[in-house]
Amino acid sequence: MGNAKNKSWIYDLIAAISVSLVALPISLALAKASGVNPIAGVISTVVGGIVMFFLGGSHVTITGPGNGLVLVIAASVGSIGYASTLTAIIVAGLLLIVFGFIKLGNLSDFFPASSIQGLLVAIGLTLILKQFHLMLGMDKPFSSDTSTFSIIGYVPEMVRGFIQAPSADGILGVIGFLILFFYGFIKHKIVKFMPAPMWVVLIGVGFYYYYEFTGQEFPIPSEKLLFIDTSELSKFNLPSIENISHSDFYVAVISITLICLIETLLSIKAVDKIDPEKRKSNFNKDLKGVGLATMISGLLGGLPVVTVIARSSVNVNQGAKSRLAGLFNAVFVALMILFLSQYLNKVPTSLLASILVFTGYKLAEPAKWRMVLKVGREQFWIFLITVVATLLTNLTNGIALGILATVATQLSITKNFRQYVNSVSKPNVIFMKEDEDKYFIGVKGFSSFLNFLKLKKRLDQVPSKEHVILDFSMTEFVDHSVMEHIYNYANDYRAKEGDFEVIGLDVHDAYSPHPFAARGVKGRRRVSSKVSLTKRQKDIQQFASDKRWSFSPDSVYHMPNLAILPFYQTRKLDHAYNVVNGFHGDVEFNSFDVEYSEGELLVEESYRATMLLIQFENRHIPDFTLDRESIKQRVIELADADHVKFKEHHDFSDRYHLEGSDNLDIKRFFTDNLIDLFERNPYFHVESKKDQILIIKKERLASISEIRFLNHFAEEMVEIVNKE
Amino acid sequence: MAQEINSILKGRSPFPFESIATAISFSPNTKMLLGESIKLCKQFSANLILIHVGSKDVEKEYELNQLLKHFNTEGITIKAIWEEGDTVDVILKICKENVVDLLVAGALKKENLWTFYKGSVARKLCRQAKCSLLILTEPKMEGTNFDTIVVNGVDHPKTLFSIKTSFYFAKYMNVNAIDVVEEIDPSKVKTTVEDDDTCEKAKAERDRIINEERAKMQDLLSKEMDFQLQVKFDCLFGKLGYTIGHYTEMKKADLLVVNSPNRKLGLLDRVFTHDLEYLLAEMPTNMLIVHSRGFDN
Repeated sequence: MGNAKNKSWIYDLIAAISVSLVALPISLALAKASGVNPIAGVISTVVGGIVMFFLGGSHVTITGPGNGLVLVIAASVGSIGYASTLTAIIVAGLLLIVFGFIKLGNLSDFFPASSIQGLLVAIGLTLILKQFHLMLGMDKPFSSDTSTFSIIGYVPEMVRGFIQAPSADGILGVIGFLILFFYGFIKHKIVKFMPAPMWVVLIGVGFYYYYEFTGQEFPIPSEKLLFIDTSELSKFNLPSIENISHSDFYVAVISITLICLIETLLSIKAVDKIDPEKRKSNFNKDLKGVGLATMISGLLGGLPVVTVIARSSVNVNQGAKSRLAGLFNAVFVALMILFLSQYLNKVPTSLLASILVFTGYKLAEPAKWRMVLKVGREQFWIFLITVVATLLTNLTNGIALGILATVATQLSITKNFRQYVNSVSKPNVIFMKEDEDKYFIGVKGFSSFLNFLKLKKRLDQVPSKEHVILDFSMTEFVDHSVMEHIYNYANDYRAKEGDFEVIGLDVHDAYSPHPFAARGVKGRRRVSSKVSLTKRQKDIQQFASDKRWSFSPDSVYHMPNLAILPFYQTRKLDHAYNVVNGFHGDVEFNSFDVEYSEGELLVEESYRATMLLIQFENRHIPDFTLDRESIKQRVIELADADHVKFKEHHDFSDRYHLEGSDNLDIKRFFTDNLIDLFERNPYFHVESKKDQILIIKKERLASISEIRFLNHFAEEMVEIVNKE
Repeated sequence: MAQEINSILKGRSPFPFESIATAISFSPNTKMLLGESIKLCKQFSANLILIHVGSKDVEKEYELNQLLKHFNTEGITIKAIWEEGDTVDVILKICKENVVDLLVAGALKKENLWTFYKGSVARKLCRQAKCSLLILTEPKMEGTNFDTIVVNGVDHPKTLFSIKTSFYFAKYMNVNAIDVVEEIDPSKVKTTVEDDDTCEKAKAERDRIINEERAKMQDLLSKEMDFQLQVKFDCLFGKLGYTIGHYTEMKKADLLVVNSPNRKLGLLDRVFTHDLEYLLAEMPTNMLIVHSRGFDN
């Protein structure tokens, strides 16, 4: 796509529309929940978008007010007041800039994975607990100094109260939550036209005008509606220094800085993973940008600016290409606030609370707990300790205890205190270039989150398109955090078509079958999974044995071939299972169910689908993507008409959108016979990379007859291709 | 007398090994060290000097003779020296007076000798000795077979002597392969990796360094090779002094040859901050610390 670059603004503009529809409601909600004027959230979004466009070091991230900060800001406003909190925000911004200059951008890799996971879950639970009564349209049933943990005790009371005497805004709040919850299950075009949070806001506005048009009395008192005072924009909320001698001021500065740092770095990392172009962000530059934006936002009376996962992932999924999308987002949000605030002021706060409760749910959902449990029981304890400690005290204590718990666990597993200390205090990595363009990185002793930065420093020296051999054969223990980092590196390399080989782990025993499980030389035995097959699995097994192919129900986590396909460039591949493998002639067929997810956090949706991957041994296949022609694609084509059309096959070209790197090659590949096959059959999504073709019928699990049909279609296709 | 010896030592090439010495302590390890020393003497046609720190008595003399009976010492001149005093001082003094070229010592983990060599004694020995030091981690009665050798290739004048010595050693000890390994401080690559661009830039810079060093080393090696031997050159990036040990352990090499540490801090030390600290603490394998005796100063 040679000319795509200069027209990328079109993509950015389209993406920014969706992003701003998410960003506006959530900015208002987060500010409201922090106990400050809702406009403060908008200031953060707008300042963030503008500053990061000029100074950011990442490409498709979105900045604005963050979830984790709600708790910190709310606590700070409660103790030292808003004016002094603004000063704390400015100081925190300054510290972030300093962190950027002293290159602390690596720091996020220092925290143990399970305790970071615990931190996120704790933030989620806090959001739920602190917003729950608001969503149900109730007054606070607990006093302000109640610890988050004790609020759990009030939940049954709140639910009972709601059921006995539901208020109008409470019912709206619950409806809002249900919309957000079920949005992911609905695939209808009209529903998907707008992101879920905007639907929730629209329902609030619609509700108000329904009463106005019918002339009935509006059942929600005006103090329970959102109140955006645009006149606030003209008079600045000035920061004050009256409380800076107070110890709470410093607690606020430290917690704001820490949460900004962690949330920003984790988000950038998550977004880098789903960036289709797989660019590596400059974390330190981004940190400086976020710091400056936070300072400016604080000066203008706004909330701190952090990089946010949910909004960024909407941005990526909607096809953003550059930082311009962030700028457009800022502009759109500003315009909406300036021109639509009279409508937004009709939205009940219960609906905004429902957005936050849902965000909290997404952070803390049972799947997150299950995942940690799968990695290993010891990880679950670390996770649980972090969650409980955070809920009982605060975020900084939570993460500190999480680190302590991790160290204690690792010491009890390895039972070698001296070597554990040595592994931190002494070097344990070598790096060398073997032959031409082949790198060898060796690790020795214990490899854990404590010394991962040493390994990371070397790993980062190599561009991801090269060939790296990472040798763990001299290690006695590799922890869960390192395994997870390594897995992410492997994905990066795969995406850039580099080669990332991990060797020497076969002498270790894993503590669970999960790919992120910690490994030790003297570990427990690997547990074998016994499974009884379902009806569908037995059918698939039958299908496989009819064809004399093999069938395996076990999960496969490592799928290098699959991951390089375009379909998985913006989706996170989790694992494949129910794999049927066999040969049709000299072409290898692999059909399987696969679990993957799109987006992050608020907008994360997990899918399961059945796919077929065919691999050609002796035949060159051009790289292409064949997809249904969509409205969005038509809009983009106006600007960037880089796709393949067949004049003589109108029907095919109308139904399908075909693009790839080498148009001539593709035209040669799509012979009349092949196009005829596509015209005769129902819609398939087909794409290829490196002589392998992926065929998807629908983005859901296929029935046995659909699997047969899929395979049949593919066989026909292989025969046509091989005949040419 | 002392001046005379100094002038002999100054400028004396680290090899050939004409006299080899070892310390006798009558621990279970002593027999193994004797075996090793005798094998070395045979291979290099050197004479053997046995040092015992302590008074000479009939019992110990008898014990030593019994020990020597285990070996075929034909053709080797053996001289035993008994002297009281501080262990390190006595060993150093005798080595100097007798113009010893190679001091053989053991470092068995199970024995106290381990901490002996690991601690200040080893450091003192290798910093002050006027001869090369061979530290054996697992001395054997029949003598160790040295199949593969790793030599430091750091950018320093002493390195030439270490490489030459290792070639000499290889020639007489039936060594198969030598890896010359240059440790490079990663901070020599000035570009800090922050994103894709800086990563590429750092890579180019690193490649340039590797190519320069490789060219330099190839030039040097081609001059010194006079017999058949597999020689490989590798560049390691990481903590100096640590990475070469890690490499040696990984390659399961039988001997690591390194330069002796510098005593005086000079301009060169800034270039070459090689420290034996990591190596002596971990003892990845047998080590030969080559003393280049004043050639560099």
